[in-house]
Amino acid sequence: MIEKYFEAGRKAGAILGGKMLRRMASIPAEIWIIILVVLLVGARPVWTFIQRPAHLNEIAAECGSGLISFWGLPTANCAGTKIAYAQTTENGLGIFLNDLATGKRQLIHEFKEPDALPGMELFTMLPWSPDDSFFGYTVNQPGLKQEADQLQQVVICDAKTGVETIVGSFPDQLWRPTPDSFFSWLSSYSFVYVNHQQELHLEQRQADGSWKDTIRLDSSPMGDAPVSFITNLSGNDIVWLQGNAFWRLDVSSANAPAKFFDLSTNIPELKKITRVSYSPETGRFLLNCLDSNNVATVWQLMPTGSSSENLSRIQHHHATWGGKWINQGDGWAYVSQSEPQHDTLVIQTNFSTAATTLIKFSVDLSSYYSQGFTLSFTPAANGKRLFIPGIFNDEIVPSIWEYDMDSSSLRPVVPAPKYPLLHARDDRLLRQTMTLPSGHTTGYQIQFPPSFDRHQKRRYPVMIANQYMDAYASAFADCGVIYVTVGSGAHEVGPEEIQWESDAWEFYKYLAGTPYVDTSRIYLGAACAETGGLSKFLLTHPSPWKGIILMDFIQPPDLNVLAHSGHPPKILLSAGSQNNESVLLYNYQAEACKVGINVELSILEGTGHPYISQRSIRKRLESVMNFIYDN
Amino acid sequence: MLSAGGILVFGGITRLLNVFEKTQQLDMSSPIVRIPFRQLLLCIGIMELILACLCLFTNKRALSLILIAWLVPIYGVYRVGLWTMGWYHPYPLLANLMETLNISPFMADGVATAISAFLFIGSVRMLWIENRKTYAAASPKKRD
Repeated sequence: MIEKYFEAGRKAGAILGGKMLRRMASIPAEIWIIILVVLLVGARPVWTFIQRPAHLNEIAAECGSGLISFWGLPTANCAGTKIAYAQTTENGLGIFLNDLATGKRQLIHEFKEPDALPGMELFTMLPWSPDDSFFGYTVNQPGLKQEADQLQQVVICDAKTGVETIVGSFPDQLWRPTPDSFFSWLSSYSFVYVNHQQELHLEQRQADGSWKDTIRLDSSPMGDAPVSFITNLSGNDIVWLQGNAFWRLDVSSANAPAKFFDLSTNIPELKKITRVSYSPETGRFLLNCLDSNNVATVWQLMPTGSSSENLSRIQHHHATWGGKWINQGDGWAYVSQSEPQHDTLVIQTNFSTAATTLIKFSVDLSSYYSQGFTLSFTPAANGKRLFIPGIFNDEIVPSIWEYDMDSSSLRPVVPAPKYPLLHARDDRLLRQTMTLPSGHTTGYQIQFPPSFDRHQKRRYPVMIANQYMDAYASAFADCGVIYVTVGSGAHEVGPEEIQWESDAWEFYKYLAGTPYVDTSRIYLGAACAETGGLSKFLLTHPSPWKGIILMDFIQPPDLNVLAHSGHPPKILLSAGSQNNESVLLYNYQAEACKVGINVELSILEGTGHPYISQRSIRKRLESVMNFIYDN
Repeated sequence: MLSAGGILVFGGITRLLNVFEKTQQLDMSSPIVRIPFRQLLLCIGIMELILACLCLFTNKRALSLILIAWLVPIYGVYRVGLWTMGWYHPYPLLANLMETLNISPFMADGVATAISAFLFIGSVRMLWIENRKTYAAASPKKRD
């Protein structure tokens, strides 16, 4: 019965097939050729379209809109009720004032593209005046361009009206300033600052509301060593640190400054003092030092008393960075970087007890906090509260957190912006370690697309990037790309750079052997200082990459090496027009064209280095995702 | 003629599709003809499709062969010109070929050269055969 059924089916099929073939035979060969060619040629656009995730541009835009960063540390008023801070905005950088009780924030000033934006490492918020009437910031607008004629400005803002006054302006740049590295209030209506030319300026508020600037000390008595810390002891009595020596001066007197304390001989093997914190309550200094072996040591200094009593070392249980007095000078807090990818805030409220509180933050390489891209904090209200900008608890972008010493509680006072994510999904990088075939154990970070399932047959494109691009990890993952960073990163130099090259190559080989990676779509990425390391890596490993994405590049890859690699990768160079590198970029593109390499340029008008505004980051992500998906 | 027509249809359609690609390299000017590669591709694509139509859908066999034999040396001269100017790979003209077949520029260059050689040799040989046939057909009449 079954045999008959199948036999009948076979016959019917053969008849139908025969009819179809006869009909198709009537189609001329010319038409067949055209049909075949169209099928062959049309396959690629169709394949590209199929692989492209839905809403690609929308996802990239959503992720870009959410990427904000903070510049410098927030500064709090004496009562601890208001903070002033700088945060990136849609068009550039904004100076904000936040009322902690109501949560309301006020935009005081916005630096907007395409005007020159401030240089990230030439900016800091300045402390509030003793009566909480004023706060300030210092800014240098041409950014990282090393032009001597650009001015570093000291701006004072009225906390009630928001009116700003440029009170100081001097040539050259203050490199990586901090709230206490060059500026100190003397009273509610006067302050001092040291400019790049090593002149001590005294600024006094006049009856008409203007500020009068006088040079209290010119550069000759100040010496060559740069001032790295300045504070007011009492009244007009100020102390500053130059090199490893403290100097003291009564600003109101005509006396010359006197050497207050020289630490070069008192602290064994002292190389330099990296940070200083002063407690007005106890009159003690906290000295963060580096010894000749680059080991961090911490000392407390009581300038009065006998020499054996006035300097003592503080023992700490974690690697330290940027220790500051807290809790009215009874305790101290510092940042420990002993764990990769995390910065831990260590709080010891009281010296008499060894108990410490540890709060773990994720490393945020987008925000520039204080003397580097390292976590830091601002003690306020007599050190009873700490304000910490950083990424905590699985957030993607930083918030400003307040840690209350009395209640031991942490709360966001300036929460990270929550955009309605219609297509993208909030997720975090997974941090893992693995032992590579060479026997070296390396750390790596990976973020999978939201739909990822390792048991499915689907293969995903991979972006092997470096840490400076970590802020974009979610955008890559949401756009269907597996995002990976390996080891310490391409920005390293010396033996660490060689180790990174080896780790990255071995990790690529591991990934290529997994069933979920599309080996024909592996991309490499780097930003800023990492681009040099990546270009070196490409000299030895020019293939098998589908593409190379370089953001704010310093050194592009050698075209001749890539051209001889068989199937050279395409390259995306993403940079702002204000870098004045457009001619260079177009020449590089023309050279690449000659040797058969496709170089795409994404030059954003009105933007410099780095990309600051949310608008520019959004545009950058859109161009990167379109580059990956061949559009 | 069918194979030549097929090759020309393939070349014409890929070049016309290339014109609509967003790649910036197509906006660069060709160092020889001084017009953007995008416009150059459009001209070549249209020309190849016209030639393909002549080959596939008309009986103007001799004209088609002459035009192919005329077009291919122009490609050759253009390629040699690029080479002498340091353009070792005519990237923008072959980008689609490379992407479609996922081959290297070297390979794409080789494929393009082989196809051009095939078209040229084929068209010249066909012309020669056509000529011989015409001559052979005309010869008995002369003897008469």
